[in-house]
Amino acid sequence: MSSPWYERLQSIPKPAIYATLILVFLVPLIRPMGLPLLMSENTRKAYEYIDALPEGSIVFHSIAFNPAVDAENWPQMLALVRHYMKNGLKIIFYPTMQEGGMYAERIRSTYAAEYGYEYGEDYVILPFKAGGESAIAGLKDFWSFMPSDVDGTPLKDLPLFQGFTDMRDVDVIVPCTGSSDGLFYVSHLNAAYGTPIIMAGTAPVLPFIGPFLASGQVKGAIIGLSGAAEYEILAGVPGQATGAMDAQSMGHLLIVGLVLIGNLGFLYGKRVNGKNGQNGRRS
Amino acid sequence: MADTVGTYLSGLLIVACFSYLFKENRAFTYAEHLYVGFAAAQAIVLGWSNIKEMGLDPLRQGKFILVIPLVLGVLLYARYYKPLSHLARFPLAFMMGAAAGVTITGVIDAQLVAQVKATMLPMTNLNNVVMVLGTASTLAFFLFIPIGKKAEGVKAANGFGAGNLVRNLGRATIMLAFGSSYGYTVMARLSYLVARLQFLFGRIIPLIPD
Amino acid sequence: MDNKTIAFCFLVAFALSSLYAMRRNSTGSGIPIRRVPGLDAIDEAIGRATEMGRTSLFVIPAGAFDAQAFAAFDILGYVARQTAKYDTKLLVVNALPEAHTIATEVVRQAYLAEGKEKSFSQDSMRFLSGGFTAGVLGIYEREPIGANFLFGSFFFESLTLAEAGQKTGAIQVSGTANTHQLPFLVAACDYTLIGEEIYAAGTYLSRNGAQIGSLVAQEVGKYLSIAAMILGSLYFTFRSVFQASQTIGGR
Repeated sequence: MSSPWYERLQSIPKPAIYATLILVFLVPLIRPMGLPLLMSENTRKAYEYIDALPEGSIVFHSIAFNPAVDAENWPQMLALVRHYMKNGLKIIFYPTMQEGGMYAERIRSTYAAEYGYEYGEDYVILPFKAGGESAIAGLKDFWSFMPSDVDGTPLKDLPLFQGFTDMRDVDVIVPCTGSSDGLFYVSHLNAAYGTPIIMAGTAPVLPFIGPFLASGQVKGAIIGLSGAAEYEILAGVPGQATGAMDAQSMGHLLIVGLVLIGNLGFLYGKRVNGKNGQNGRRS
Repeated sequence: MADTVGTYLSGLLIVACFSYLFKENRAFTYAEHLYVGFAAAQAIVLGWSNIKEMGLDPLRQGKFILVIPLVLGVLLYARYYKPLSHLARFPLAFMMGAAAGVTITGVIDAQLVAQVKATMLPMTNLNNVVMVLGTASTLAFFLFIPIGKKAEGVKAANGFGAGNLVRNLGRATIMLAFGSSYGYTVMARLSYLVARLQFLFGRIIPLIPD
Repeated sequence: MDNKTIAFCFLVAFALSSLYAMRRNSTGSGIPIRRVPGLDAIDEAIGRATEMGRTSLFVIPAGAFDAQAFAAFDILGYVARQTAKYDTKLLVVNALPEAHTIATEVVRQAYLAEGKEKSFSQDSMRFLSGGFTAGVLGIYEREPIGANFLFGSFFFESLTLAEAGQKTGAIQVSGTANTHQLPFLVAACDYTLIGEEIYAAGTYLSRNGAQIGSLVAQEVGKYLSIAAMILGSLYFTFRSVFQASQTIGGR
């Protein structure tokens, strides 16, 4: 005997869900629908803060992500870097994950030339340092902790570091991260020097940084692929994230629909089973 | 040429991994084992380059102070040799002490004092009321030692009498936060799927427009 | 007062309260700790597994061998005593080589304390290294699980295990301090010990001096924070109301 409809609503076969999801994603990717994108306050604050920095300001861009989460972090980083370059900001890249270095190298090999950026003068890549939180706390003692760049060139020989005394000369720190590691910058550099922080993180990072946004310790945040798309639009540098937003929105709609259907089945089942002297639990 | 081969290989592996969504199969098992092998190899290479670049190379250049961390690092392996296994405690104690020291200096200031200060808000609008009551009640939910009670007779449900109302409010706040966190995680997972589809149907089968 | 001075005061308060609690505990005066409701859920789950003649499964995940693992051992000791008391089959699975010996000893001692040392079987202590998640999923398939306990430092495997465990029809009680995994455990389990509850439950069961000291220090921090937040907010509320009334009165 087949199970009642309310139980079937709670146990839709997974392959059917996945197939529908892929279809729902593919259609808007192939034929973009141009759905409206709502700007979040956090992204707007991040954009406005960076946009207001005068030309020549120093951005310390920390790369704390790897290929596992680069679907969200890379579009964010690219949009941010293009915005820095458009506005003539100096960039210091610092990978705090070993794989992070390859994203900085990608900027050097492919994107720096778009804006005529010279290595050593307009941007510098620092080497990866193991140690997690210690590798961020160590920046407080900058010159002994970080004597040379990723190629082994002494930092004091690079034009960008002429007149650079320590991390107090950095105008904004932007950790681009797939975990809560960005908070180490809040604990060590924001607390010590009051250096402003803009966070770019994957979607699950928001609940971690929410309290710091509310307290003003973090000035703004770019969250997830939607944050990247919003930033691309605000900074006028369209990229991969904007193209994905229709698909993302349709996927969210499908998930909301599935949650509603599942709960409808659960609540109805609970009512029916309750009448039969059982609770709503299936066993 | 290498790029093309790499792109098609990536595509094949993505399809092999996705095939698990429908049923466990041989293609998925191969992809899984390949991944585990590569991940282990990469971990070894990254680990070795850390030791070389941050320890051995500077040591060769005359930074002899690095002998101390290098020896401590080697001692971590002492636990695999029983007569010397007690020596593994020294590097562990050093790491725990250093980690506690590094963390405490920043955390109490930035993540406790600054956060408490930021929650001292005038309760003149709904947002502030939710923020203050939500934070205080969530903290109250995690109180385990009632003031003025004797060591015996503290029960689960009535530990705080009227305080249960506050704890229930805390519980509701936590559940709302979990709901939001769950939603954001789903959002992230969908982003990863979109990126893979953009790769498959953009670069391998060119259906997605640039 | 600037943030750094306040932080220092907090640090001193933590250290002193922790030392006081450890001293008081060692003199036998005792510190009252509230019984976490999750422990009742554990009793209920074991009771149900016993009634149905099914197995109780205790899973220690592949995360870090940290304070959570030790809290998990304390809870495992409690679970093992209950299963020994009711003659329910207990199966313990863990993915940490360091944890295996300790877990085995914890369970053996629990059976000994209940006078059931002959019921203890080494086969019920399983160590799964690589493929831990897949191994536990296999146990779900093969064993009739009545109670499923998931305690420790969970990462990505939390939802996979909890969702599959839910399908077995077992009562599931879980606990982790990894906040990023809590939403998944809360959604898929019957009862979840949230964050610090896992430490409090472990301390409640073990009565270990160092654990009590650390719990008391955390409590002091929480009481101070709540008091500061409420008093500070009331001060700013009255100030802003007073300023508003003065502005209106001045017009």
